[in-house]
Amino acid sequence: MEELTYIVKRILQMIPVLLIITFIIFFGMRLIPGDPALLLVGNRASDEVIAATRARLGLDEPLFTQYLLFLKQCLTFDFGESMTLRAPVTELFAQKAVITVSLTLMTIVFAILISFPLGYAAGVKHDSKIGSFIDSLSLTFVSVPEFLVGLVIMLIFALRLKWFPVGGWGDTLGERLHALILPAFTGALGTAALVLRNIRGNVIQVLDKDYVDFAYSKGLSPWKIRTRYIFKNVLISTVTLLAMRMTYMLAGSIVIESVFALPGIGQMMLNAILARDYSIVQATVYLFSIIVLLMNLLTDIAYSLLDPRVKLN
Amino acid sequence: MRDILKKQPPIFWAAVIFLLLVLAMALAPGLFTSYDPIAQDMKSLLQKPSSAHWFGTDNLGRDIFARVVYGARLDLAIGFFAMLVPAVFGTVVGLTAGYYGKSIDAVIMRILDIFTAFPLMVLVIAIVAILGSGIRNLFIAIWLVGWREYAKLVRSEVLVAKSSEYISAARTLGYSNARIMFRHILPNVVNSAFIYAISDIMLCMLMGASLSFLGLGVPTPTPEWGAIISEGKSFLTTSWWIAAFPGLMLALTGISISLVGEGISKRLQKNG
Amino acid sequence: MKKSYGKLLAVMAAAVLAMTGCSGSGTEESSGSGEQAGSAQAGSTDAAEETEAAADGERTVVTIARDFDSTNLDPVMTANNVDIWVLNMMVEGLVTSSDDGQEIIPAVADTWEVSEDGLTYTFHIRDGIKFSNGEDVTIEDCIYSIDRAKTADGPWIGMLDMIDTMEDGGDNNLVITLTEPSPAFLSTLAMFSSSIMPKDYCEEVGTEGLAENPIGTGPYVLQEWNRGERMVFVKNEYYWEEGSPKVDEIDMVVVADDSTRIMQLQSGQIDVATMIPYSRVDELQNMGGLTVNLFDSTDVRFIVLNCQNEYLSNKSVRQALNLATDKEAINSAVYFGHGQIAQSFLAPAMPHYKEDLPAVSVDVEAAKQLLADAGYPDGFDLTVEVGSGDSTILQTATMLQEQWGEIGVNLNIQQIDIATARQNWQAGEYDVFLSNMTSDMTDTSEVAGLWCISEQANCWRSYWDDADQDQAEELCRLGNSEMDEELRMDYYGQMQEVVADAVPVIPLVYAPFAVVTSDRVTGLAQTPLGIYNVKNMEIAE
Repeated sequence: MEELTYIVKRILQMIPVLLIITFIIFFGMRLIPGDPALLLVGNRASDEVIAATRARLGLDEPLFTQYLLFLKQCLTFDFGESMTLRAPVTELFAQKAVITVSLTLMTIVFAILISFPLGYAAGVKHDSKIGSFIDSLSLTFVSVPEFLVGLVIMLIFALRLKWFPVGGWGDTLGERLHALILPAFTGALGTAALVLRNIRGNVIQVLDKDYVDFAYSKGLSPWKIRTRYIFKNVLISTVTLLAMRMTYMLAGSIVIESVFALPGIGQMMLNAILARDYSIVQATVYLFSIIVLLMNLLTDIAYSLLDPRVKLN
Repeated sequence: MRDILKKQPPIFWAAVIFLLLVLAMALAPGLFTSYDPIAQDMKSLLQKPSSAHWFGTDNLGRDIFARVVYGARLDLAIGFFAMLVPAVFGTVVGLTAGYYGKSIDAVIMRILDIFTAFPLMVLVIAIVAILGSGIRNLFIAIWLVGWREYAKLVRSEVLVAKSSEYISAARTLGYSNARIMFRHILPNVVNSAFIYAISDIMLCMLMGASLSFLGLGVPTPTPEWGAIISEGKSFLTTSWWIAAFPGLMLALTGISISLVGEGISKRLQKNG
Repeated sequence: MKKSYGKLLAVMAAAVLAMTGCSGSGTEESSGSGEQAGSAQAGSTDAAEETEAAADGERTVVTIARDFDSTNLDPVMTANNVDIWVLNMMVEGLVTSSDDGQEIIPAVADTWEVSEDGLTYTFHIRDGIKFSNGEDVTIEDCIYSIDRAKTADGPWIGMLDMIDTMEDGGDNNLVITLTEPSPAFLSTLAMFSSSIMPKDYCEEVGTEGLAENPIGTGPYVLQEWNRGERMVFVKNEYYWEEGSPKVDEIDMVVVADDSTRIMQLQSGQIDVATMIPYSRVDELQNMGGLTVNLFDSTDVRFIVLNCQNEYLSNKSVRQALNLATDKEAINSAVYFGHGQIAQSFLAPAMPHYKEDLPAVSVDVEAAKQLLADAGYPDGFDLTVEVGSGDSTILQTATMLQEQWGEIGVNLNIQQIDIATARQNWQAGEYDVFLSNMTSDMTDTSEVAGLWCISEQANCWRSYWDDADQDQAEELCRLGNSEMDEELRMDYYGQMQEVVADAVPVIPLVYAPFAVVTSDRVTGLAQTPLGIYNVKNMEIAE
């Protein structure tokens, strides 16, 4: 019951947050120099044509009226048509989100698969050569730009070995999953490095604690010690990190999407911002904030599930 | 101090020497190369690494070694300051939110939500469009978004730490909130933030590369490792040295910082 | 409101289904992506048929990759090259321009006659010609389309103002009379904006519908359009030219990253990669299995100087900058020697390009002298705004910084988002601006007017406005209306001399279109205007 009240309270708290976000994104976009009508019709258009375009886009209405319209759209989830692409924004978002969400999920899975075992091993063996090797390797992952990693990986595994397509997004589920492997792996390296180092650091810290020595002396099996002490301590910060990386990637990693020719949210947003397509930018930021807020709520709930010492309040 | 340096493995010293070298490059780049990092030489475009140009030249005939050496100053500054300010701010915010909980936590976390909800790209382009590009604005962009991770990490750890018996004991003893927060909780929770900060130095340096991609890079032709790597992107298959050498420096610097940081923190923990 | 939520859910669900495609059976099945949101038409590819046909070796598909997707396909509403360059796959005018851009050749009209006084044009519409929807092309459709091109509130309004009347001359003849003789009339009719489309279709779908899917007499039909991803064109079964087009399907895909686009070509995933960076041309030329095409273009890369600027309003200062600019060096370092050094703002591919303009060679001393005489012996500061992500422009700016530095002009490079940079340039709030331009018509009048007639575009936003400009404008107007070809060349030639002397613009290089094709594909052409001609493209066996 307490949990339920908490969740309801958190969801109610989202309303003012979302309101502030709509306000900032709406007026923020209009503060940025650059007139969408002008960008839409090109350099050669006369002033009359530009004015007509502004009217067609509804940009000649008073700002406050436009803002109210946006708020109404936020409530109904019907954001009208994109200024530049002329397709319904909601549909465009859904279409692109499929790619970005799939990519993000696969990236997270890869990151977990890489970082958990390696991070644990590096922590337990931190005094040995293996430990330092894994640690250095992970740091190399974070210190090379994603586009470089992506291009080199693609050069080797797609162009030379022909195991994967050179970017793109296939037609069938199988093709699509196949096409996502390289980009997800590229994205996972950086995330895995962060998580790995976090796990390793926490494992070392826990191993240094007196209670672990005490547990050993009490004759508890190493497996029990691991599950009981180490994982619990490591999980909270790991979940936080993973959730943060996930939000970061859901925003659309334009670098990865661009290198691997994946037409996801990132590419759409970049083009929309450059073309000052208010309708896409506003709607995407709004829908994205809802996802972020829900994810934050889930992370907080996860804390208390993972560690009963954390109370929801 | 002497204790810290005692009995460190040779790899620690190798890392220290490398970092001192990079620091020397940052302070006195002229000692390392006689080339001007921004001087163009139309007679030596895209030259392979040689005795004249150790790291080769780019398509404007600029010496890559000189660019890497002169880039050290800016990169160290970015890595350090772009990391430090948000790290301290984020840690304090996370500590406050986690410790006080209730409405203070709720308000802080909702503000954090607002910052998280804006995709980095939107923020960056807004900054470039309104303020223009430049080193100052590069810091503004990183600072605006950099503190979120620390705040969340520290807060999540505080939630765990504050329930320990040790802290409730401190409370019953009537210690001030500030004292409990900074003297008792902080040392227990700072580990995750510290580990993250080491990687964050690298992420901040790499921001140079990502931001050049978005046009908020360091103003050309100022040398900066991330920007040089970006410039070398079109030449990966033909003139690999443009991107490879700054990339190598970035990786080695990252590994060295981590080794040194690790060595020191291990010793501190043992001593403390 | 409920309904909308439901709609959102339905869309999400549809998208998830689209992601999973029709999986399970393991056989190659239709993806159903045609039904995805944002696609142009509901018609989905019949992939089953496709595979079957491919097995027989009949159905041929060519995939072309470019860096950006199209945005608006209504011919009269768009001014973007991403749209213009593909429009002729779907729609054609009464006439069109040849692949080398030098001649006007028949399209919807197979013959035409011009009266003695140059005022009456009689076009004979090709017998039996049909639109891609199977309907006959009527004189009414032609009149409607040209009238729409003339009057629609788009970027091209005014271009056909020379038309006085249009009427049905019987026997499939369209008679157009002009208010005055116009040397640019046929070229204007050959522009994409004057394309012939079915009247009833246009009226039914409106400009919004045309923006999504124009119908005309072109060799291909847009069957599917996934925004930001891919356009699928299939052969127009009713195309008038015997044996053309040769390829059954053309997929235009978007691959934003240059390196990825090239790798896809090397791997055989695509057949044609456009917009190839010049830095990669030599490497690809030496690679087997690929052909590097450097098509002649009207693309001129230049520096616009703001003539209202405190320093740049002085002609001597502009001339000094011109003398300090080392075009040769820029061509070799930024264009890797694949450009051609430019003296005129008109490209050699334009009909009235003046070949013998005096070549300006770098002369730092003379430039310094000019600056000193102008009262700036110590130079001054200028700022150039460079749109983010454009490495060619950024590198050019970096080189100019060094070159102009030699004469004491300190060029600050400001990297800024491209929309802001463009807006500042349009508003005249800039010092110098690096840009390029391609012509949209084979006639000289468009580009000449944009640079020399102040009311058209403020001399391409150089805001050039002095005695020289008056002279250039007068010569330009004379050239625009002169019917005698020799005199016309004379006017335009003098105009180019005036501009080269007054320097509102420093032309840098003429840049070819770099397109790489796999050896599997032959016959692709790109006209100097940038338009892809795909109808003679073939798959070599």
